[in-house]
Amino acid sequence: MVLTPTRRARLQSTLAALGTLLLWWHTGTRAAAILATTAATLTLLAWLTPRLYAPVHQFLERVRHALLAGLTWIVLALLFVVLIIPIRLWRYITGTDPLHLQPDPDAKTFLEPLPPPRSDRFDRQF
Amino acid sequence: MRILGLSAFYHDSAAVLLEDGRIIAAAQEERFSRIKHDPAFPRRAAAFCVSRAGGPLDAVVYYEKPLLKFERILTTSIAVAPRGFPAFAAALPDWLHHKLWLPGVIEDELIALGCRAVPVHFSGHHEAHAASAFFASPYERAAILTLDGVGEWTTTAFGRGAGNQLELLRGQRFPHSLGLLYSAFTHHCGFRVNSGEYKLMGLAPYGEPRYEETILRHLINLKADGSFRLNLDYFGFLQGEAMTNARFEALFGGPRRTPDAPLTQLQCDLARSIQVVTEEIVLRLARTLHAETGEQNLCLAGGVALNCVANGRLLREGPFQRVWVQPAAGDAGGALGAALAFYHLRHGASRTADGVHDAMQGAFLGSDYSPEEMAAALTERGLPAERLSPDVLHARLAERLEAGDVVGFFQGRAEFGPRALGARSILADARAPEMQRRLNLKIKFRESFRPFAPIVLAEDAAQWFDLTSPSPYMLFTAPVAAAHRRPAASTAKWEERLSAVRSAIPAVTHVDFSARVQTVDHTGNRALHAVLSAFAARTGCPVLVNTSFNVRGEPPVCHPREAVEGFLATEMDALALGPFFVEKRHLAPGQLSSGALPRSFSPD
Repeated sequence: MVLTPTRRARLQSTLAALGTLLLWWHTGTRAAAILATTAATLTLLAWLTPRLYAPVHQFLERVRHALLAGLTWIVLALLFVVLIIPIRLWRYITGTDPLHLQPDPDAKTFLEPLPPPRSDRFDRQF
Repeated sequence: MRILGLSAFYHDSAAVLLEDGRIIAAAQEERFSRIKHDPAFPRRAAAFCVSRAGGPLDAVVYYEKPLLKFERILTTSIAVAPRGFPAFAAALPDWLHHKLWLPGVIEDELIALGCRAVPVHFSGHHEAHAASAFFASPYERAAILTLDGVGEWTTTAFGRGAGNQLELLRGQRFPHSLGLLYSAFTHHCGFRVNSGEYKLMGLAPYGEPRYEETILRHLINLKADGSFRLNLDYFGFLQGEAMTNARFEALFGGPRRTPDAPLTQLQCDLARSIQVVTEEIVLRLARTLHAETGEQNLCLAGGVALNCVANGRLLREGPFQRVWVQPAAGDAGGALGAALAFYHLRHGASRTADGVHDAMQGAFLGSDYSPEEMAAALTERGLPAERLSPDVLHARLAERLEAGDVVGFFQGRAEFGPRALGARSILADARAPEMQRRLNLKIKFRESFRPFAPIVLAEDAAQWFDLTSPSPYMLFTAPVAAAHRRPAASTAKWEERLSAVRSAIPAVTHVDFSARVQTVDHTGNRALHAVLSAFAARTGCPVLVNTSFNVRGEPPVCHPREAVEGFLATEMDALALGPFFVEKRHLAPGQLSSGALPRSFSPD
């Protein structure tokens, strides 16, 4: 089912209110109470006057997007550090140069034979 | 058998419908989305193609192998680590989100179009280019040369085609790419990569090849057979930074030109130098390919094959007797090639070639509209139009063109590929000395150095241009015939040379007397042939200016509504919209307003 922006906003705010109420019930702290009250107020706004809630929804969407982008960047940075850089080091040590970045002035040609086509090549993504 | 070919997610997304080997429909997504070089999934182009199908689809073929491309991206990231993280971080999310799951993405899109799910197949990128060049060509057998920026790994490929068979023999691998080398200079001269390369080509005749030796000594290691390796110390594209780096800038005496800075002689000389090097590489590769295959015909595709100056030299000086270039030589044509490769190489379908006629149907494979839709577009803007018979329309057009008018010409099916070939064109009198400047500044809103291309009656082409074979797709340059040239000072500054009258058709004569010719025959484009004939009968000159019906920053018009908007938004004088003819001089001031906001352009 495709959600309209209004329905999506209502669903998200309701889930947020339920989550914060649960947090308040579980922790009983003042901060959780403020959070739950705010979320409940915004949920009421989303259900009663979606037009007034729209700017809040847009702001929260931007925050969510920024958080996801940041998280993606952190995960990729970790991947780069723990996987890509060590492989690069290993290739450097073993002298592997798959992109032929090192000069080869004595070569007669840089054209390479292309592999013969496989009969099932149209079914493969590689 | 109905096959949908697709290219997407890089630039110039396109869809093509092949039915029992015949091209039924082909279109680039940009024409519908109005986003130039649109890389998105070609949803609207595919919808258009499917609407032309005589029944359900049997197969879908994508134009490259996504996993091989992903391997190249990872290998490149490893090769340049610890640098290159920005490129890695920029590329990976798209791959993880949809590019690695293409069969599912394509199936979902087709179901959204109302098609039943069909198997999704994959051709190689250069196999698709080669198939688009050979299987669509008029030749029974030919050598094949594909040249582009990069596909999966290959950047240049040699091949051979015979009948319904095609094999790729040898190739050169990423990052050693003629397309990327040319794009690096495009970037350094302040134009947009994958868009402004033809501007660099147009700028080249204003310069001298002062940097040819520098390029050959420092940037590439060129072999006698045309193969080469780039010296990546001077380039930034592996790291995902700019195409060039500080060493490149130091080598050529200064920083890159910013897109809105004025052009200087330096950019002209750089353009000329890389053009000369490109032509030398293409000629050497062609000689090697000729020696290896012994074929007399050559088929060309890939983005570099749109370099019509190199193509012209290949035709005049190359070892092949005949050369055919796929008119949609860039990635859009990959959609066509993927479908053709699947049809002939997987399905084993036979192929006939008569040696004369190609399979492209003049490249008029895009959308068309009924007179009722055109009338509605005119009525929407309150424009009164005369509905004329073809003969009267062509005669009226010739009369207005002779009077110096600039005319929008919207007729029949739209072109497939980057060139306007007379279906979505702007026409003007090539004899008028001020026409180039007027068209550039008042109609196209683009740089004043940009040359325009001529269309000429095929039967009269030899009298006006030194052209050795037909050029129906505007993919070869040829010198204006000596009889029509005028002497012009060659020592003047490049800005001064812009306004010099160099021939009897100055609007289409470049500073080196070259022209990017399109020959028009009676069978290929009857309407355009009739207009040219009527113009020739009035003036004795069978040549007109033909440029794409668009304004800067936009793709050529597709719908009649866009043609009407373009007509009103520029200083075009008349519009031939199917059978309807509108002249601005007959419009009331209130009807002239386009209602559009003033146009601003980002550098392209």
